[in-house]
Amino acid sequence: MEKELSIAIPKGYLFGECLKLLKGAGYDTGPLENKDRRLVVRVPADSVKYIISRPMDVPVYVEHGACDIGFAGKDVLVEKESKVYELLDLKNGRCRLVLATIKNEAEKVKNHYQHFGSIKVATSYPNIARKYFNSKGIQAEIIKLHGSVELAPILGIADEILDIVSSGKTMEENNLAKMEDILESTTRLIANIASYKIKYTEIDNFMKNIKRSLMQQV
Amino acid sequence: MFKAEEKNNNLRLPSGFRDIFPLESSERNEIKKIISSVFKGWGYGEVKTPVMEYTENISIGVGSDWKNKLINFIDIDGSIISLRADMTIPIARLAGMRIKKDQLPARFCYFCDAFRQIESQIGNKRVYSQAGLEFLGSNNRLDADLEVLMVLIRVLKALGTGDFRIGQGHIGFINGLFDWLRLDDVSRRELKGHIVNKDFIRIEDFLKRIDGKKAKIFMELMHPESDIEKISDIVSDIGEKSLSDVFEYLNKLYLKLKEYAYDKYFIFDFSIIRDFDYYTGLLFEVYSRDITEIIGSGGRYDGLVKKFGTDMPATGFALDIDILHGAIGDSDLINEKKIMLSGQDGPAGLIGLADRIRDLNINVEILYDEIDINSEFALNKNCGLMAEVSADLTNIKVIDSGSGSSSIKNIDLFLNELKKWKKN
Repeated sequence: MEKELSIAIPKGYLFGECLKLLKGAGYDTGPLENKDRRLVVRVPADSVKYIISRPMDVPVYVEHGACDIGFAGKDVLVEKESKVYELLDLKNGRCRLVLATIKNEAEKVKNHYQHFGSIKVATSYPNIARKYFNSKGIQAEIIKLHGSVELAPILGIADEILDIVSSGKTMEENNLAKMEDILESTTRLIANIASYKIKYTEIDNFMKNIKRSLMQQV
Repeated sequence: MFKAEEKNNNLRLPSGFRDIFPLESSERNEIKKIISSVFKGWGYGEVKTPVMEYTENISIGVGSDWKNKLINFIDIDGSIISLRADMTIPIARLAGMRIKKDQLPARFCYFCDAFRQIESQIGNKRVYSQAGLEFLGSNNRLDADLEVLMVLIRVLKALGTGDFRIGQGHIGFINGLFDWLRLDDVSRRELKGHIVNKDFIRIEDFLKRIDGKKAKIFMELMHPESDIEKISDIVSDIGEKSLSDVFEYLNKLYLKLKEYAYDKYFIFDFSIIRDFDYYTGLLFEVYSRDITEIIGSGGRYDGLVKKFGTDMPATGFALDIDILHGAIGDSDLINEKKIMLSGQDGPAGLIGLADRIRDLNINVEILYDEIDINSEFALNKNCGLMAEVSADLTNIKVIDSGSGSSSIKNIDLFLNELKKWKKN
């Protein structure tokens, strides 16, 4: 008997891409497109259960086994240091993690660092930020924000930000300039370690369908 | 529900540690009892080692990245000591220090807590309650590995673990594949790192840079596979001697397991690499349907004991009691009955009556305080019945904590009825 797969789907900018992939793979995405507020959507005909969650939580649900598989950005996987299988690079949801500061102020930040021996960095990726600055030997005070990180330098609570950029438009509009690329990220298909063994047939099947769907898109 | 913050402030526990209450504790004890009887049946004797050892000793066995996972303290003489991170290293230390060659083979088992630092930012625990065994000093590696796997299966069956599987890998198999790929040490480390991280995208990218055709075959072997024939075909196509030798070993082991109809519990998965450095051969992990954590793991670690003295081959496994508890559920682990006994005229004479009930193998909790008790209070303490004895100790008012129904009866009749109550 086919076992039900539980799949974590990220809300937000990856949601549409995931839906497109699922549709192309032959899964009924109708129930997912309903604009209601259900977070758990069952599609018995496909033997799947979708869990709609915040992108940052997808690897958490998968690692702890609340979901067998999920779609997660590489940026989130690196931040969370999740112990999951990374099965497939979906090559979409492309974005970069960059270090940025207010335009033409890079020099000022440097100067500030020399005087005060530490810089303030606002980010939604505190773990990546800490590791990055440690590896550079730079002392940094990391301020965790849950979004609109671009505001931090404008409001003066941070010298730099470490944030994701896809088109660069938000940065431009907020008068920020990139200083350095930290990481390039795409969406990954991930799997829980135990589920991958116990439900291998189902997961492998799902993966093949998604692969096919990916090929069609190209 | 929560006590006021100011009062509660210095009453917190260090993160990753917790208290355990009677119901959970008794279920865990029951689990340990079942495991213990299987271990004993196969001749394993329990050892206990100090909860702390010199960090230097523990570090011998663990990989370099493990040092910051230890929980360390400074001893009064300035030396650094750590809480044990598992039991395999302390037992290897014990065996290397104290076991003579002519005392081998030796079979040890253990039930104890191991401690590790919380990793990254996931809300993890720092204490791992483990049950496990180590089979030391048998030069018949095949049968020693077989025994360890068989004991593991017997334990899982005795516990009624639902639909479990054992994933089987082998360090030598991975190394054989590395030989075939003609990798140098640096590349081996890099690829091994990707396998440990279970990052198939990196593994594939890495291999494609070396050899596209070999990459495809390699990836084929990274998936769980229950059909040994398929692996056999791939291995003979590859034709690398070190790989074929290891596969031959796995095949022999598989055939022996098959004789006991245990083959159905196994899946081969060569992506299994444990995070301890000391494993040298067979590796395995236990999974169960609906439990998405690894219940237990083990393998062969020839060479570890030698670092502490006597050289001897060794193999073993450890199970995580917390995860195991979850895998079994709370079904029928505890079959004990308990009564809450109180007296209308205070506790006088209650102990004598309680003893008569205890003689029926029913546990009794006596209430000495004059408090109004209700069903919830009794059920909280797992008391199926509340019994209030009249002042003259002749009649008893019995309330069923579950249904709430009550009746008054003569004590002798009550004792008689208890025998029946106990059975259902």
